[in-house]
Amino acid sequence: MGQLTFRGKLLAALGAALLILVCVAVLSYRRILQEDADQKSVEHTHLVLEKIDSVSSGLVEQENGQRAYPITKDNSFLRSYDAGLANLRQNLADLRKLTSDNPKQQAALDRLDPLVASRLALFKAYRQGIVTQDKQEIDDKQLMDEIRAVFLQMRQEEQNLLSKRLEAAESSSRRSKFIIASGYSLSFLLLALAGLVVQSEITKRIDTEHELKSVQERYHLLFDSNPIPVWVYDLETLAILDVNKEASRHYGYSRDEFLKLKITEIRPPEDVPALLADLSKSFSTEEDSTTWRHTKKSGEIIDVEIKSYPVRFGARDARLVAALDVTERKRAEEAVRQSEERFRLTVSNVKDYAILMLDTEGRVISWNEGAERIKGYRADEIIGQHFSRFYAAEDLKAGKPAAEIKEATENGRVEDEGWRVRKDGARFWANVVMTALRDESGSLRGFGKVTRDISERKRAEQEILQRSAELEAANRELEAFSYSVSHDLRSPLRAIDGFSQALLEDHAAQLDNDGKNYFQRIRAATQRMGELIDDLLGLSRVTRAEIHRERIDLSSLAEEVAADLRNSQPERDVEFRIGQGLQAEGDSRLIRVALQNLIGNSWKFTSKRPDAQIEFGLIRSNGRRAYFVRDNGAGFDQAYADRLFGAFQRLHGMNEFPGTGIGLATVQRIVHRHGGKVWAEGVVDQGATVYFTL
Amino acid sequence: MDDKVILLVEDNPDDEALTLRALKKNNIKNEVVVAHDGIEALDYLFGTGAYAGRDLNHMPQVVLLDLKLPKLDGFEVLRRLRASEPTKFLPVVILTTSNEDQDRIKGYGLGANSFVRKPVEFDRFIEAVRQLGLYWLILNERAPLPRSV
Repeated sequence: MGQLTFRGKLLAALGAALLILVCVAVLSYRRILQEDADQKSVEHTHLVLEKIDSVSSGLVEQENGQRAYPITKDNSFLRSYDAGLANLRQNLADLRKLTSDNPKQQAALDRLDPLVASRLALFKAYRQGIVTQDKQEIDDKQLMDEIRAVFLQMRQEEQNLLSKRLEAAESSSRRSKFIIASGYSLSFLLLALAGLVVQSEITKRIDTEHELKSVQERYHLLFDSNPIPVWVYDLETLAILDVNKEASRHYGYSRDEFLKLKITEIRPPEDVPALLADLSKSFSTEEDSTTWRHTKKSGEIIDVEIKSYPVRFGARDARLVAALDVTERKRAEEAVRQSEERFRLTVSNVKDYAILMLDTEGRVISWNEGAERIKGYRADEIIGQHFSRFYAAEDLKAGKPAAEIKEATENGRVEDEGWRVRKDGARFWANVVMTALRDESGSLRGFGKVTRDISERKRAEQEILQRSAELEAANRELEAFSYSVSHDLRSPLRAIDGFSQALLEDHAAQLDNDGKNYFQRIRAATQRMGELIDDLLGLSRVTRAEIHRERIDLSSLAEEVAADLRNSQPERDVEFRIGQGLQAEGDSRLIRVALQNLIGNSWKFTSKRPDAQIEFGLIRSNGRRAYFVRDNGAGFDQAYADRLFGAFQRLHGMNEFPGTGIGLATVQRIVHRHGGKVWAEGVVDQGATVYFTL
Repeated sequence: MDDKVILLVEDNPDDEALTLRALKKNNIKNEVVVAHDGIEALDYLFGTGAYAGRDLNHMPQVVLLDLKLPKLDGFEVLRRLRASEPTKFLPVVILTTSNEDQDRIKGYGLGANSFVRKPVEFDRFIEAVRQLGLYWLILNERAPLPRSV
């Protein structure tokens, strides 16, 4: 609209200026004509005046001739007079003609004509002598005065006319000058105004153009250097009309390739119908934001978030599209979603643990199957309820729920074991772990709570505790008993033996052989009793001792035991065959006791053989390594093999072989305490083999 | 050798008689002071109670200490005499019936010089006493007694 105003203004100014100029031109032309006319009429007046003067001077010459003639009677005067007369007549005629437009002058001429004629007639009459000179002179003078008066009048008339005309011409010229000058001034003013308007308009247009240019540059900058793929497509043909660099880079098409594509061609074919349907309905929408799948030149399909706006592109209705690749984001979101789904399924299906979530106030917001099983509430009964209802009355009184919330908030976690209450009021012993859940910014979102019903375990633990206590008491008793046996049972034996000896030594004279024999038997019995007590204490010690497992060199242990036996009875000749490099894990003290008993037994039971052989080695039995001690001694009846390992069980008489019958029981105890097995094979008089594993 | 006193701390009269007999059998004629419980043993050693005014410059050559004693057991006696300056280095042989690990560990831990188990067989007991006498009364050199008491 401003344009139109500008154009109207400009046209009006220019039109007005033109009109004024035309007027001034017309006026000037007319002025020129007028001046011409004025000039002519002035000139005419001058001409009339001249004629008047020349007629007047002709008359004066005639008068002079008339006067001179009478004096001189020179005919030459008459001739010039006649010539002058013709001239006068001619001049008068000219004058009449010249003043034909002026009735006043014509009237004056009309008056003049008879005067001139009268004078001429007078002179003619003089010349003809009809009148005297005096008369003629007097009359002529009168006539001349009259003529002069007419001329004067005419002259005055003509002078008046001249001054009038000069004045008129001057005033007309002045007026014209003023009109022309003001016309020009006005039109110059208007032109200057128009010029100014044009100037300002041009400046304005230049500014606008600059601005337009910088806008265009900015637009290109924004469009081309936009880090998001952007293009414009024709709403009707769907052809891509313009595309930015990022789109080329991201989709793999060059700009030229892109401009040959339609937007349907960067979609997977199966998505095209949906796209067309969408386009047909969303033409009218101002702005649109949706997620689509696009195909790159490589064929790779990406997820994009599209934002589009309707635009005019040249003369076309088009749409500007910004396509943000969200493939990675969607993939991550999908992974998170799947993970959450898996987690949710896992949690909700867990039956052995109550897994629930609390809001920051402690109200239940999620509930799994385990929670329902353990606490007895269905999800719809408990969600929104405060978790304090799971606590026993005494814990509620003590403010435990609030304290646990506080601790979990402060330390991130709280663990508790204690009584909790089911919906039906029954109590169960629970292990509860409550963890504060915080979001990325660290603000508290709620609590995760895992509760296990460990009533069974608690019961079992209590039972074990009780058993342990009982066992410990029994052990203490046994220890006290052993200690007591060790001290108190041996003392009387020593007294019996000691005083028997004293009797035999100090009172031998008063004893016969039977008496001495009996005292000897008392002494043997007490000594055997001492051995029994020692062996029993050994067995008990083996039972009670703690096992310290370590790597043991069994071969050298067996060698040491053999050496001790040889030293105890150097007179015996026994062949030891001890396997080399045998190693085992076990308690070295106890294993030594076991080997002492086993090899000691072999030593004892081969005492009647001159070719005694004792072997220690390793065999494989049922896939297990078994050590063995074998001898070629007295052996035993396999039928009694099971009884061998019982305490005080003996297969030989005391007279045959001494012993307490506790050795193998001790060996069995040691092997069992190592988690192994022990068994024996024997043939009477051919030898025995005892096997053990560790 | 005769002025070297043996302090026998033993509550069981049978054991006391047998020990004295074993010493006699080995011809050990040193004076034997018998204390029948822990308190009596300490009274002798510190010159208190029944032994008040005893010349404390005269300390036994060796103490034969039983563990199971009335009033104050052998361990407590040992602990107290080791804590006292005059008896800190006194040779103490634990002479007892048991050979329980715990007793040996505790005995040595409290500073016993020797641990001997009394065998049931009297002949072997005599042999043990002979060796003890030989070692502690003849072979062993005691630490010097402190100057002042």
